[in-house]
Amino acid sequence: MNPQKYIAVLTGIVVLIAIGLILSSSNGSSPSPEQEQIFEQANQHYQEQQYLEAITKYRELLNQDVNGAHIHNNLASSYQRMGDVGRSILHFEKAIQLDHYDSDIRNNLNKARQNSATYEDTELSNWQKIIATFSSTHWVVLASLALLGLTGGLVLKFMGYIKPSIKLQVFTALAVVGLITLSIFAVKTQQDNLQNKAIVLIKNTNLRISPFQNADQIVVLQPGKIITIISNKKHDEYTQVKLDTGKSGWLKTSNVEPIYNR
Amino acid sequence: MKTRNLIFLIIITLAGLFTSAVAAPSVSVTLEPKTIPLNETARFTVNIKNGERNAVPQLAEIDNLTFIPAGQSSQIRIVNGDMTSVFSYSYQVTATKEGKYQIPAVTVQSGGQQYSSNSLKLTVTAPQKNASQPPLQHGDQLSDEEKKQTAFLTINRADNKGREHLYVGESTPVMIRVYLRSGLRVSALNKPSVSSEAFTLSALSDEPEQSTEVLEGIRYRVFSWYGNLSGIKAGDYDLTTDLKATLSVPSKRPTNRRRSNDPFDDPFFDSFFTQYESRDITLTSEQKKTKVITPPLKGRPDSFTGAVGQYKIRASSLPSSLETGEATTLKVSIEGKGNFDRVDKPTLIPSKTWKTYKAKTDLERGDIVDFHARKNFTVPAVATEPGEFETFFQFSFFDPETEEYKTIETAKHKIKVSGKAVSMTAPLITAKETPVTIDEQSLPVIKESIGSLFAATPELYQKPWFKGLISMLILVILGCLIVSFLQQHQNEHPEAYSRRKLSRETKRQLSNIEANTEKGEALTFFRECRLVLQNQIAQETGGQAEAITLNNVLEKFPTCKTAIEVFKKADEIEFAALEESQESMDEWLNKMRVALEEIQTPPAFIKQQNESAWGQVASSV
Repeated sequence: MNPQKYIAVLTGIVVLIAIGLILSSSNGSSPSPEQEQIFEQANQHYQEQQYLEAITKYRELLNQDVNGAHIHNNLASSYQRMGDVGRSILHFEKAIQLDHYDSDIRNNLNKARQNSATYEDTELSNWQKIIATFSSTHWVVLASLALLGLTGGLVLKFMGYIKPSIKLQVFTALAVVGLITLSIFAVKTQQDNLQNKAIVLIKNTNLRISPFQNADQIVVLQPGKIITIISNKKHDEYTQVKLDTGKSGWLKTSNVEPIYNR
Repeated sequence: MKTRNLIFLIIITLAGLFTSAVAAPSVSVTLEPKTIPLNETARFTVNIKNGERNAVPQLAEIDNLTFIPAGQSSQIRIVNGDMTSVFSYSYQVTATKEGKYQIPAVTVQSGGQQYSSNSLKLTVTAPQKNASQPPLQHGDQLSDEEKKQTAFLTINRADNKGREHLYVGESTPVMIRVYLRSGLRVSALNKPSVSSEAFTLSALSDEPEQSTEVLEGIRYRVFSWYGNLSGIKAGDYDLTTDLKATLSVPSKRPTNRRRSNDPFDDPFFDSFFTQYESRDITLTSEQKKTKVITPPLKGRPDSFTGAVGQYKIRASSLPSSLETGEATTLKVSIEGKGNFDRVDKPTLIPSKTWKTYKAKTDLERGDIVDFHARKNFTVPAVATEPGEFETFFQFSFFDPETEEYKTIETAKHKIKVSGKAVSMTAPLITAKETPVTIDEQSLPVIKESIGSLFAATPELYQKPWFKGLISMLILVILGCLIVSFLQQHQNEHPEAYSRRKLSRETKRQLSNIEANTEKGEALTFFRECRLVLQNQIAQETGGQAEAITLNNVLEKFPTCKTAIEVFKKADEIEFAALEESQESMDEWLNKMRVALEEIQTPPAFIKQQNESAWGQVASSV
């Protein structure tokens, strides 16, 4: 085998392995039998309306440093049954993050918001709709596959196995660069949107003008409300946050929990 | 003699005339009236006729009688040659006790002689009602009793309807009056104010009404203000008002003491121009116990926002048709009596189908005494639900007179709203606690299987192996691009590449030659020298390197002596199989280097000759 063919074959193998790794990583791993057993026990408690026990079991799984869309979904459902609106919405949001396309989870979240009257602005701009088409993980996968394809094509061309026209080369290069740029932007936007988002958990949470107990109140927030945490702005037990209306203020850190899983 | 007598007669006549023109000084006194009630004054006048200008009366001190200078005047008359001058000094006489008083004769010093007036009697009887009182007495300090008689302040509710307490937020009309005794000179009078923190005084009239009143026989000038008193804090309080005033009071009490011989100690100076000085005083009304209570919780409607009074509601400009989301302006008015600071925008019913925003307000005050006013609201509103429904404004208040809550509404107005329902931002605050109810149809769906699990951290793009993979791919792409670029460049500039290639090859060969020098292999040494020269010549002239011979070198590079020498030697060694020493080979190596330089940079005309020579050779062949 001449060196060129050798290099081409090697490159092909590397590309295939890389594709495999990326795809498998984006789809998560299979649970262990113990994890499946705990999940089933939790579901059993749920069916028997023992919601507190169900919550305990679901939390046991999460404490193993794993995340699963179904775990968060069922945990959220249990909270909802117990009337804990804030935690219910929080875990539905976490579930959506992990499985962007699950319609059951999306419907559950919408119902929870309906019940708590904490509507969010669902009217997305066209750009936001494009970004929301895939989850951030899938955008990364798309970009990676495009890059791998481009690499493989260049190597084959370099080896002389393919001789694409100039037009095709330019088009392919532009398409790949465009897709990578779009993916980077989409991921960045999604991460920015999610990174500092948190859910209000406690009823009648006071948003105050300054981080003190006796500071004037700006507004009272109800569970399920999404707020943005202003990073690095903490004072004692208070955190500075911003509402979607643009108003900012301070509230107790223990009254909110970030949505972002990782 | 005759002349002397005549002169004497003239002198006597003139003296007589003169003496007849100026009469002797005299002093007389008058008292009007001679009988006065205790709270009245009498006017006592001392007339000095034909006295000296600086002659002043000396009054005796009389117990319970006070003489206050009231001015002076002078008069000069000439009648039939008689000149008469009269200086009059007036006094106001006040008594502090009833009785009969003998005013002794008044003495006057004039021209070194003392003149006395007649004496008079003054009778002081019991005080009468509606009688005038003497003005403020002199003094550096006024006692409270004197002040009370002089000036005082009152505050009264104009309309309490038998109810002593006030409700928080209730406005009640009050009248504040200042009584100042007649005769008092007031140079400044400030507006009254309420000193308690539980009350506010508003809508006070700018200018007070003025009148006179007689209270307990004392005549007063009365200044009245009308205002609105509101209780703002529940509790029991002492209601008082304050008022600051500046009075002008005479600066010195006239004395009836005997004058000294000091020419400056002369009552002329302090009685001719009466001196007044400003005195600031603060009047405070008597404390009035006033209770302020909160309107009751029982029966309080949800829409009550604190308005207390009697009100009516009126709406105008309600449209008949609208589209959802379309902004419109609605107008409503609240009029009546009460504290309009607490009158907020009425509620638009049905509230679920309307979204209202902050209203613009405008207050029109009515009669200042009646405290009637009207507050107009301009309310921006958006209909959010389609349909046909009756719309009206609703307002709740507490009526302190009936002591009950009332809710009033405007006339119901039918409005047709078309379009789709508009979703407005849900309120963040819920007014009341609502119990959590679970709608069976909205129960969440749970998952039967655990599904895929992800490690808690990090994201795919944060994993080290992923970063390494992407970096590697980028390097490969860059490498391919660079190589492609170089290849293309080579194709476009082949001569430059072949030169570089030859140069590298030459260097390699020279290295080999050096190695062979050390080995002492002359044949191999010179073979390689020749090969190097052949390659160089082929680069310069084209053609195959192996076909170049000594003759070619002699033809093409006749001036490259060293190159020719090396080539000849190489042929000799090749064909004659001669041996060379190492030192000799070192020398030949140096010559090789020189030969290469000769070939690489031949003179231009030689190069041309070579090229044309080749052309001739080619054409001859």
